[in-house]
Amino acid sequence: MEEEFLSPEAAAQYLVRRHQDLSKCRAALLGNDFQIMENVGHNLKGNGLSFGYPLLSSIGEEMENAARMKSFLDCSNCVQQLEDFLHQI
Amino acid sequence: MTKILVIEDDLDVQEMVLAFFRQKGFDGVGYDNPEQALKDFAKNKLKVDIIITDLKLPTMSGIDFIKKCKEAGIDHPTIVVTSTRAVETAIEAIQAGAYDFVVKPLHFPQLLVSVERALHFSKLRSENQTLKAAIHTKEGTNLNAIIGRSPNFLRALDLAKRVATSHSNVFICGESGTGKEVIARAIHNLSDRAKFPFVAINCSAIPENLLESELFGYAKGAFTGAAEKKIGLFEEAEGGTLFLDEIGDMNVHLQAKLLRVLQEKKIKRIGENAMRNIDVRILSATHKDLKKEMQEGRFREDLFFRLNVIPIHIPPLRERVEDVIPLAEFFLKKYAAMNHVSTKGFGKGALEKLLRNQWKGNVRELENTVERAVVLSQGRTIESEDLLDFFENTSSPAVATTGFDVKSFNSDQILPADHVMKLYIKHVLEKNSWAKEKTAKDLAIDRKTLYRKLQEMKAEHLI
Repeated sequence: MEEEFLSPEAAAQYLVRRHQDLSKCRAALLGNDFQIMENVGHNLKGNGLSFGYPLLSSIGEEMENAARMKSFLDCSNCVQQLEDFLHQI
Repeated sequence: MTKILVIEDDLDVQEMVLAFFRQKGFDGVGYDNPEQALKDFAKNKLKVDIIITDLKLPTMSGIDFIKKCKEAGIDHPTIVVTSTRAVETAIEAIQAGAYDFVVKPLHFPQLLVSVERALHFSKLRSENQTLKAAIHTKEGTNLNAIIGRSPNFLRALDLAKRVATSHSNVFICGESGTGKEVIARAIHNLSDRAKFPFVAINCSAIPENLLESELFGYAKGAFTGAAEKKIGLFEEAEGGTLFLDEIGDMNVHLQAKLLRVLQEKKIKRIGENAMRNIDVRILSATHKDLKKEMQEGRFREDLFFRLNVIPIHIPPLRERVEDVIPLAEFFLKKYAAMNHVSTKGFGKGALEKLLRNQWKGNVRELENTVERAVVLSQGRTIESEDLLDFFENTSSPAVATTGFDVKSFNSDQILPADHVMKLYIKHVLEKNSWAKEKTAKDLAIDRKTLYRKLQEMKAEHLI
């Protein structure tokens, strides 16, 4: 973890919320709700690196752009990347 | 403790920012909804020193939030955080009133520097406002800015307002420290002469032989040392106002010359033959009883009647007790800003003590007392103890706040004679509540000598 001032509980809570993001994105993909994916992507882009996960920021940026373009394929690719990342942690 | 408000809908980032600043000694509160924050500000439920807001928020943008804050009179320094690096957004945020703009992912040391600088800026801005208000009052730009609500003081202010636009000479009387010069400046600033100079001179602070050349000026070679010609204060004040403070201390010879100026509206520089026309309004003041001075032959009756066209009496502070607390609070803000102290105000005991004191040195004494208390209290609430030493010392002949203790002064303590004399002058001044006339009399020294010593003491930071 990059930021030492974060408690272990807060760091763990961060990952729990990313699992919640993953569930939200899966549901959004099924419902073609690009707005939800844009929001999740935007937040991931902003918070990933701050919590010591630069890859999450990259996935978030990609997801935000894909959702803006309303590209189902690119969005599902990003959701898959997020899932893979969370499995590895 | 400095309180920080974080407005961020991404709870992870919000918690992270709060955790960081709490670790750095800040207090913090987080909102994910800017509208709720605005409502709580309006209800006075939310009190903070600085705001960090995300740019992209669910119900309104960070920039709109800043604009709404400004509209509502919420003027805390604000830092905008965003994921975009677009320059246009940064410019828009700064134009809306943001102090700074920080890009995500957050680099916390950078955010801390930004917050510290914003707080410093905010403090400077607040000090600037306080000092401007102090100068505004000191210069008497506006009579409304002069603090005072007691009926007898308001009567004096009302008279000053009414005579301001006339061309008559005004004579202001009142004890030392009551604010005669403040009233004189206010009269000048309200008159149609306001765009011309206001020149003030304290007749008792300048040696008699110098006073004449100060007032009238001199030609080159008029006397030894007059290497260049000098314009006097009458000419300097051309079109405006000349305020002759402590005119009761002017010698009879100069009084005759002044009377002639008032009658003829002309002056002659020392060493010149030509008369020069002048257009100057004369305001004068004294703490002395001029009627008594006239009876005893020390002040010309004809000059008195020329000067005393409209008399304004400024009541002493002990006769306007209602003004003590507003004045004390004004000086508190002024000196807290000057000394970079964030004071919490007066405690109940201190307020009672302020109201009980006789204030023989009037507003000047009150100002000195508050200044001292602000410095001694070091940012906490000013309690009666902070004023206790001052009052005790002013009433006790033995001990002065300078550390000069007449009773316990021992011969082992070797100090330069001049220094001891200055400490003793300060001791007597404090004993006399800074009444200079009485102090000079008690010390059997000339009032001008006392003024000269006071100037030296000021330069040496003894007062």
